[in-house]
Amino acid sequence: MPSEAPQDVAALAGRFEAVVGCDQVSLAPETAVHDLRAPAQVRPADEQQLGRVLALARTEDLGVCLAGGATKLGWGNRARRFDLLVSTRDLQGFSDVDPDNLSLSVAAGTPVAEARAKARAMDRVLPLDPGRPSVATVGGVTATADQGARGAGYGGLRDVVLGLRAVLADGSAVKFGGRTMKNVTGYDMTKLFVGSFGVLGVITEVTYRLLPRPEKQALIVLPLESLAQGRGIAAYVLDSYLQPLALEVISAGFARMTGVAGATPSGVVDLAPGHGYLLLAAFAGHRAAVARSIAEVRGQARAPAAAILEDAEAESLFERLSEAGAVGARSGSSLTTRSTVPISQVWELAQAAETRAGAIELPLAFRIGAARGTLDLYMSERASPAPDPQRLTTYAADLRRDAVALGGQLAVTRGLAMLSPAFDAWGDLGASVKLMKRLKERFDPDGILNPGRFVGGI
Amino acid sequence: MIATSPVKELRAIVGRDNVLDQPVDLQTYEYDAYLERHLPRAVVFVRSTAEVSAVVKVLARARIPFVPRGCGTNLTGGSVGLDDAVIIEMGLMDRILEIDLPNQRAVVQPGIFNLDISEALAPFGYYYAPDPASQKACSLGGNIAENAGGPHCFKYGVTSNHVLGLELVLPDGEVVWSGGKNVDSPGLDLTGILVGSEGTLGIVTAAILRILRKPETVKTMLGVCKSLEDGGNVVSAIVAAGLIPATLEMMDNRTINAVEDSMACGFPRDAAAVLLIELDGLRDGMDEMAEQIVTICRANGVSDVRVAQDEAERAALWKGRKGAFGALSRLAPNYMVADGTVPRTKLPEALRRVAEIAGRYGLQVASVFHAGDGNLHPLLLFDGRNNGERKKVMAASMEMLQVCADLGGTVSGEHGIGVEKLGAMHMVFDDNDLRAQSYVKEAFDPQGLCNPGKVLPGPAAKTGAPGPTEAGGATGAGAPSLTVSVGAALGA
Repeated sequence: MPSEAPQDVAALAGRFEAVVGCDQVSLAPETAVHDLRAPAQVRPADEQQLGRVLALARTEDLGVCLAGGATKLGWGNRARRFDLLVSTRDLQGFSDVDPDNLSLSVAAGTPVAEARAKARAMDRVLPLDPGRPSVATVGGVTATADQGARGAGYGGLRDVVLGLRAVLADGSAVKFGGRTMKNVTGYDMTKLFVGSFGVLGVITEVTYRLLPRPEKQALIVLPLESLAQGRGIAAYVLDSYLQPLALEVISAGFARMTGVAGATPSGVVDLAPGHGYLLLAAFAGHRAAVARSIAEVRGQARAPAAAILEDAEAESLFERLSEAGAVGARSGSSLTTRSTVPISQVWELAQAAETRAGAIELPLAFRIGAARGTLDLYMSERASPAPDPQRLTTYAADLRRDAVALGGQLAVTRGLAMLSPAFDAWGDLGASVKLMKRLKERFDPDGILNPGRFVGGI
Repeated sequence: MIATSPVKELRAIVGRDNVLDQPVDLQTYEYDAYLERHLPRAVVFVRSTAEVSAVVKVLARARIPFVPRGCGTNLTGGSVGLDDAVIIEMGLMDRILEIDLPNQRAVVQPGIFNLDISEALAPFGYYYAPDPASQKACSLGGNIAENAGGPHCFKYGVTSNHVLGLELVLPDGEVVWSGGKNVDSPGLDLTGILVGSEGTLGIVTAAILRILRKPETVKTMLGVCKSLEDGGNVVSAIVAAGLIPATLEMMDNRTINAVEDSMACGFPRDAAAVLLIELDGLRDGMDEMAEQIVTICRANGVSDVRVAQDEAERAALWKGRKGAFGALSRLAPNYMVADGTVPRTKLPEALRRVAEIAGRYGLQVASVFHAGDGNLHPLLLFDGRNNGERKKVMAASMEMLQVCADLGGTVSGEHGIGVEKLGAMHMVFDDNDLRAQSYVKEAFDPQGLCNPGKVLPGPAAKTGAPGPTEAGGATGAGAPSLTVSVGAALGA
């Protein structure tokens, strides 16, 4: 606990140093989980060390929070207790590289960008498109199921993970799944661990399904006059034969925040007055199929203005989109949320978010993942007058109610501290939480892993 | 044993005629498409979630084990009731509850035949992607329990990629929903762990499915191979070229001839093997990709490549492929499928070693398999009335699964563990791995009443390949007891 006496902290650190060596333990780490900092951090060098660290933490009854690239520590609730930060950052490398069989096994602390580069060098694609890929690690991205724009084509994390290794709270190492696309040997434990937020165990290695590199990739950017126009085009694409790699609608604020507006070499993506949104549709595959897809989307737009980005240009635009979280982090007092709703309802939710924000003059930027029904909201409070927690809490609570009414959920991904303390980061997930709690009790009976940070107080 | 007869209580819930408890009636439910027979205590037909819940509550209170059952096509004994269990027959819950096109979802009951879902969606231009070969005769609930695959997984994935939410009756009778029509709901992925749990965690009473727009064009090709190995090389070359066909399936000569004998689909009888390839997607670029595949085939010694010219030709090829298990079942009283999976490039080696094992045991083997997924299906043909043959088949099958495990694969690609492969779990998992899996069972089913004796091996199964034992009231946690069914042969 932060209140722990310094000599106790030193003694504690000493016990961990005995397990992992002095270089792997540090005192008073900078990394905070919400407003809490742990007195000590351990960076195990490998899975065995991690096992010993967790076993010791359990013996000492320490609350352990986990971090990889530390890009998503704003997700989830405050920790119920936070005595030790365990970083997976030093678990690095590739244990199984098999481009012919379209699989790649990556150690948890490897940044996603590095793993993607590895795949690219073998003429393959690693189907991950999370926020801040140059910092975020594969372990963290898998534990949070963070998937961005290209999830429309790739699917979610649950669809691209073939197997994984983890260390459980008692320090034992386990492996689940395997390297093959089809595998029904025992329970599908990989699914349980993907998106499990570290509460069942610490992921140490993930095996992903790879895709062949497509012959062609292209992205069309269409300025939109209204959300309704975006909804119409998205509905057309989703009900057509086209298979989008990405299908996003972003607000003007989001386009400016990420530098998407005006960022293209062709320069036509500028947001003219009256065009408050951009639609981005990307396609990959055979060049003829990509050309036809782009043409078909373009034909849906009444306004002829459009930018078409190909291959590397499209790639760099995706990179900008995925850095939105970093921009949000820099802007200080910001609240961000992620919602998922049934795909046709995402427009209603975005509309509600806009209307409600307008009513209280809250600056709002957002992106809609039209093919997966995701809505990421970025709200920034002005410095003066001083942010009013009640106003923001009411806004978030109202939007959560909207999301639930539309058949979805809303989770806070940054800025929980700006809301009133009772506001849960995940919301009420109903009766199924009871089962999640029972799973937690089995896997981590002492509740040492990310205590209290996940749904239902898990 | 129990004060009030549970059968009486069950009849009060579902009606007199919906509970079977006479041995002559129960015999229909004592087997599935695997080899074991266990007479259930009773069979209960249910028509609603509320009935399932009420039935389960009665059974849980009396501590009577129960097994959800669909169409009984399971190949590993998953739908057979061990421990004197009550069978809860889901076949009457076969309705489509909702087709939600704007959200690209369908909500269905578990008793529906797999094929009926796509047929109901066809008028809207949509379909449900997972299509196990038995889709005419297997129910969705069973597909969910086994995380069924099928011949289109290479591109579209397996059942779990297409199931987004489940209504579940827990083993204590409580009803909960997991997931929903949206993707990636916060919280643990209960839907993900339920799919493939072989009916051991609860009873699925409704499912939310992802439905897909039918592709604009489909091109189906048949490569006539001089050897299984040539076919395997073609598959690897297609993947290396960056193509993602929907289907990459192979059948060996014995299968081809069995199929031709039983339904004359036009497969070449003298081919060592055939490779069924299907491309789907936009018409643009399709011809060029098909040409590319023909070129790849030729470069790998597959000179004869036939392209289905119309829907009738395509349907004939698929009829043969999907009817292959049924056709092979005409060759011998019984078959056993070793459903192992290997990384695709290891297929030629796996097939060689499978043939070697079959030769060593003097067994006839036929192969029909999902080449794109590295999922082998060597069918060992035998006469189950012959005790010696049965033992040989069990031992050979376990050796084949060990080969798959040794080559970096796994012991079940799509048929599940059931009772058949309890002993094989140790080929891929150590004690820690299995303990973690047991946590899941304990969390969902603390009383251990729901389909007991399946998936997770008890301590008795640990000693390598289980030796076959004689028929009797084995309780399932250890080596499977063997009796022989002449059950309908419907494969994956």
